[in-house]
Amino acid sequence: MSTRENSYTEAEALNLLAQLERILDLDPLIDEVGFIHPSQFATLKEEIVYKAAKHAFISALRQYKTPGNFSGKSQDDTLAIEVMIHSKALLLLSCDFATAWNSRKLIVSNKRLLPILMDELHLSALVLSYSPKSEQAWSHRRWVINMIARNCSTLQWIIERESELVEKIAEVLDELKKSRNWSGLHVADNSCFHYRRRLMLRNLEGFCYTQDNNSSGYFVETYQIWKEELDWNESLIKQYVGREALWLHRRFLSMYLIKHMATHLLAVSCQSKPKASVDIDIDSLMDHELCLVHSCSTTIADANFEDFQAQAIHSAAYMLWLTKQIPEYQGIDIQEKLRAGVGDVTRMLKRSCPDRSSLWDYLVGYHSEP
Amino acid sequence: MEYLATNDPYVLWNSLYERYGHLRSVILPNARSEWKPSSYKTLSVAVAIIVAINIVVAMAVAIIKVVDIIKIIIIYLVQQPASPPVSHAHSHSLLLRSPSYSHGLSTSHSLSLTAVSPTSPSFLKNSTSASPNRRWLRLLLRRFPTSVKLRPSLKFWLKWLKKVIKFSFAVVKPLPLTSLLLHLEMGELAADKHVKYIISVEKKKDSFESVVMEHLRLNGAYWGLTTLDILGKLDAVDEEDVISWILKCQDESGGFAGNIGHDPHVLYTLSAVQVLALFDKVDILDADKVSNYIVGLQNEDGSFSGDIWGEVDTRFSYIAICCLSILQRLDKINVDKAVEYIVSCKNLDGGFGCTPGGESHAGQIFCCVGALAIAGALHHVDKDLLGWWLCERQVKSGGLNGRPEKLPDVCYSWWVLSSLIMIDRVHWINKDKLVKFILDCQDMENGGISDRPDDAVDVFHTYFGVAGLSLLEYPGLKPIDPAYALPVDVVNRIFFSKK
Repeated sequence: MSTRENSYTEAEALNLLAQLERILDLDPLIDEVGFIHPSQFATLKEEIVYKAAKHAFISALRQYKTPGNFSGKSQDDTLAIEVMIHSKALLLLSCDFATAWNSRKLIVSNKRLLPILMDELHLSALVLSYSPKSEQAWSHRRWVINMIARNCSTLQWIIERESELVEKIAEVLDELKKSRNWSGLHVADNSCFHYRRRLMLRNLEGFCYTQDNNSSGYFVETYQIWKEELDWNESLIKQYVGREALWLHRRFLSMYLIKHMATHLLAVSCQSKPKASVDIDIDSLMDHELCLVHSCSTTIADANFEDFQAQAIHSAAYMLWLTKQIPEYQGIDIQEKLRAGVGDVTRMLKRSCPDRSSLWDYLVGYHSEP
Repeated sequence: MEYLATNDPYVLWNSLYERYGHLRSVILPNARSEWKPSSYKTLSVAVAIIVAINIVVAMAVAIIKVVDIIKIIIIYLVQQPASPPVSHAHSHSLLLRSPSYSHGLSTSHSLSLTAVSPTSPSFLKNSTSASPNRRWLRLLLRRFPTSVKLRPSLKFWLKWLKKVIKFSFAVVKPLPLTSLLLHLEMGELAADKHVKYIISVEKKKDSFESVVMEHLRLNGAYWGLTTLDILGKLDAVDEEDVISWILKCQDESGGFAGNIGHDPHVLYTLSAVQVLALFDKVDILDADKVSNYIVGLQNEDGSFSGDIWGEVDTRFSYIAICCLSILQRLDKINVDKAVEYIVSCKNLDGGFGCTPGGESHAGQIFCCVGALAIAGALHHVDKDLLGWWLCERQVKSGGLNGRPEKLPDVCYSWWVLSSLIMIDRVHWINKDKLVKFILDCQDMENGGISDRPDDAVDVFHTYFGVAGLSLLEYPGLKPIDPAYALPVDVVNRIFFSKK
């Protein structure tokens, strides 16, 4: 028993020293309870190891949980340590073993000390390094961070309490800037654009709160940010041909810009003279979008490259989206332009994407309703 | 996860940039060049076409031979004893020729039949030079009085008969070929192989893969057994065995764990209730105990936690509502609050995330739409918008992905499809292509379905593939309810035959 414990602590120590990006080879220790590294699955003793680890863990946990063993704090501690050691071994073999994660939560919640919680973060990071999709590991991490926030919350509390609304928005802007470069390199990652959308929305919310005082200056700034995002998105669309995530991001941007900015615009321009010389003409915006769509959809002829075809399809779908999202817009000439474009667009969509022909029909039918 | 360890952003940036460069310049062109269909497939299709043509030819020849036999019978019955036997032998020799020759002959025969107009007197009068194939007609017609022979109505009838023969021949010829090709195109569902695969997985408890997955064995039981029920082979397992094992997985709190001795969680509780429903044994449960476990997990904002450790996700909302609905205890939770929370997770694109503001994902959408459907609150869903997002999940190969820019996966053919069916927009996708995609993901030799064609199979994807095919009304499969994810007869049994 003691030798097994020694071997585990040895392994544990080795593990803790291992860097996150390179996991060291561990010597298989005792024949029945070796500690085989997960990437060495070529050896055939995994089942035995796993079963032994599981057995050790469950017996330790049962001992820990039985309420009779309260003969002294040291006894309790040693049991806890055993459970931690065995669960760690087990989790490195089977990262989704929820019961093991739960036992660690149980022990940790009894002693809420920051170093122990940091250990948990460390272990979950180790597990995630070789199996990044392990749902239980992520869930455990979230729980640990919640615990940290709840109990050892001095630092974060200070930060949160001290920041004012403007600072909060500034943080959002910072984050937008920081993540922009990363997003530019990962244009096929829809999640990163979703994150940007959330940041933009937070920004908008912030703007709404400060609407009463000093609105027009602030409004211009917010509008600038959105316009910048639109332009950046357009440059990405032209650079990376046929990326769906970019077009979906654009749908969101233009929809919000036109819907929310337009209404605020009217309110602001009625109250006071606009200080900055910002061209906030919605008509020109729509014109610009139509031009973009046209330029993208004319490349459909190049059937060899899926990218260009996809680009055309996405731009056409984007146009249909615009027509559907802004039906109540007052600008009559815009509506006419849109309606004129819709016919060609639907024809092209039906030809290149016949699977969804009933969707195109439905959308066009919807649009043509007065 | 170097992001978690390295603090220096410059290092991170460099490694990211390298990785991206490698992907773009090396892996992407490689993947593109490998994307052509394998030569094996084209070869097999070519062979199949040749075989098909041969079959068609044989069929045509068979038809003609049958017709010849009939003619001979007529000659035999109708002809006078004085007629020379040479005609007999001639017809016989006709039959003995090789298929291609007789085929050629019979085409010329049919051509000659149509070329000669019945109105010309030579057709009937020219007895010596006429081919024996026409003799049967003459002999038959001889039976009738001469006046009848020359009646316009009869000639008219003959003309139309020839037209009908020609037309039907023309129609019949290509038909077997096209049906054969279609059959090859669509492939077939290897139902027996899948049944064998599932049973083998259930029995194999000692391999490393099954040992490592043992904490979710109850989910695996649900996937395997529901698939068997859809394929109509639920009796292949020992019901008593399964049920006694499930009951051992129940924890004292009322919830079920993934396996014996593990911690309880709503995920496994739902699977347990569903499996018991398959066997029509939900009443052996203490429904109040199980429902109390779930009720205790509802939070103040209406959301549900997965277990006592508090993780919140809309999946758990679906599980709670579905499970309590099967146990007929839905009134025990605050349904309005639960619906309110789910609606708060709705995004601008019409989809739903795991928590408010979470990215839209097909799995989460299924859970939210299913929960709203069961709770009778589907009016909260913008069906057009969501239908648009969902139908954009179909990619060129016909499969469905879970989010924009992702690869197709068979499991999404359930989650996206059932969501579309629940909001009544399933006609916006191409169902045939999806069927073909699912059938391509089968392992025809060992059984089972994988996430993508030519990947390794598992029970999870086998279930979702078969369930997806059932929703697409593939023949031979039991219909499945899109919200409860159980066969329709099981759901009906719960709600319409019990009190």
